[in-house]
Amino acid sequence: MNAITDNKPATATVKRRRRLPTELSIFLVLIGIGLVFEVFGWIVRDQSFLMNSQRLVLMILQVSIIGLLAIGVTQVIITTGIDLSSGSVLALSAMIAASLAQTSDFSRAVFPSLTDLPVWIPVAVGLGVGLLAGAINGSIIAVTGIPPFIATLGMMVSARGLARYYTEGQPVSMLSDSYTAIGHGAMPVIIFLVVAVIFHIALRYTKYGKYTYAIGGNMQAARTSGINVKRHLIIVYSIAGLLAGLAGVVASARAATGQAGMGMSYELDAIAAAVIGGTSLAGGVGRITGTVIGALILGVMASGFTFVGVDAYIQDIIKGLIIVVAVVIDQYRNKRKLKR
Amino acid sequence: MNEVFAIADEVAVFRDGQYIGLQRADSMNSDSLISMMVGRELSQLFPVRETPIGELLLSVRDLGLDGVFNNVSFDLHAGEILGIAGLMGSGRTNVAETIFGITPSTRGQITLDGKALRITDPHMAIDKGFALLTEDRKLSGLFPCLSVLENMEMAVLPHYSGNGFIQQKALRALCEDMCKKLRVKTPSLEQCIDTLSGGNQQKALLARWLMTNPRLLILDEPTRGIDVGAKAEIYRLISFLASEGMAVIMISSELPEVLGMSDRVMVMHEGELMGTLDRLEATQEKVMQLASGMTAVH
Repeated sequence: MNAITDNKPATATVKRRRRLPTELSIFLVLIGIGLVFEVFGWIVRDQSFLMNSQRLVLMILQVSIIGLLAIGVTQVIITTGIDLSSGSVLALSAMIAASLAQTSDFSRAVFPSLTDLPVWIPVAVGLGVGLLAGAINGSIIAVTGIPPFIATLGMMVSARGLARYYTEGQPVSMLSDSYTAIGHGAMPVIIFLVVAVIFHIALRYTKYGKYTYAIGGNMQAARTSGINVKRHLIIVYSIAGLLAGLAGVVASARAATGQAGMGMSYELDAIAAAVIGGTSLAGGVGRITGTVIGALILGVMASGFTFVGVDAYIQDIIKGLIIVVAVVIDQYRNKRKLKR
Repeated sequence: MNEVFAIADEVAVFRDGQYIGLQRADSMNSDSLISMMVGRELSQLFPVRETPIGELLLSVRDLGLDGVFNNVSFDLHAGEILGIAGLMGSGRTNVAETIFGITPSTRGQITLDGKALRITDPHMAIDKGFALLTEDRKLSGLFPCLSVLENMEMAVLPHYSGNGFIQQKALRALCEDMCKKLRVKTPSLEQCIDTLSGGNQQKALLARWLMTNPRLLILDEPTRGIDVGAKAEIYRLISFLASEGMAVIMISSELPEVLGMSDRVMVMHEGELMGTLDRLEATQEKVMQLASGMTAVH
């Protein structure tokens, strides 16, 4: 029977109407949301939402931290995984990095003998903590084969606990000027954009990127094609951890303090940014450009709701709704693909 | 195919978008129908090869995988096509997957060029010049969301990304060349692979492996779910590759295919190697007898 059904000419598929690229359509959504708040702004507060550079700068700064996490989690989701630990790893890195960035004129430093260190030490240690946490996530998932959801849930709880235990819940403050400079002005935004460009290129033009998509597309075929799937998964989770560590350094530098409660529920915002940006939870699909736009959408919404005076609790309710809608759209796309 | 004869009164044949003809079903048999569909006489479906078989390439001794198959031994020479026949669940696919390192063997040994090998992962097998076209395209072959290009290039990427970056131009040229040689019909290399027909998907996957220049090509049900025209093309390609000196292991449930293509046929039954038949002595009856476990030849 195959003999007959299979003989359709390949040209039949060419004429199918091409849909808008995902990035463009979500970019239009971003513009649309901005314009809605613009209109509401004039109605409710009689001022412009978009034409306010101070507000936009603040918004983009907030997006940068979540964005760093989202770039990492996007790659994890492309491999059909998930990373729930990024917010906690951010906090742990922030605490440990900050504890090594304190000045000597502070009498209650965490390590009185380790003050006034050159700035690269806390930065390197902060990144290292993130990398290690990610490598542990990846190794557990690759070696034991347990669902990424569970492995990173464990890391989420443990890393948060460790961040609290580290100073018994006390904030770490009085950080050196060279360290806080990392979070000054536009630095977080610059770091975020540089990281975004690096991973955009890595996913599109390197073997690392092709393998990431291949594993997400079909793990068994990836292994058969000679990809060392376990090793690659460990690398992907390590990179996600490294970026969470970087986000921890940037966040603590910007706040000039390390606190164990930092990055609380950021992992969900990061996942939301990726999913809204078109990364499929079914794996194999997703782009950094989409995730950046997804993070901007979240940022514009948070900023816009506050601007027009929507209650913070109601904001959360709406955010939850949007995440669910994004996943439903993703499911719908997948189903259509299967039907074809 | 058989359904056509069981159900239809008249059969209309199309090929490459052309109407070929209409005949009464009872006036034709499957041979004449296939030759209408392929555009050639059936006798030409399996090309004749008369290349002398080359040197010993692969030697497998007492290979086994606990609880799945036992005591599989054979020799394979360059330029030789070894068929593996057997019913579903006879362990044919497992032998292929074990040689390729997907499920590492628990017993026995594999010798390549006189040197003992232990392969525990497909990437090791690929390094040794092995290639495996798997039985189930959807399950373990295709990357459904990726383009034709990305599907084809996956196994050779390590050779085209010295510094991590992919040499796009060189790879694209290679893939275009392969598409031409294998006559993969696709609107463009950027086309998502799951929009292609089964035959073209299979040819793209075969291209993935041929780009690695394998010395040993293992084909597990290479013509499953594809049309007769694409089948004929794949048969010709396999014969050509063997005549160029490639060693081929071909697993198939279709007896005419195994018998038509193979120099020797190995028959398996419930995880045991029942016997190996030479091209001349292999008949459908003998293979079926062995495959059903009624007799064993050693």
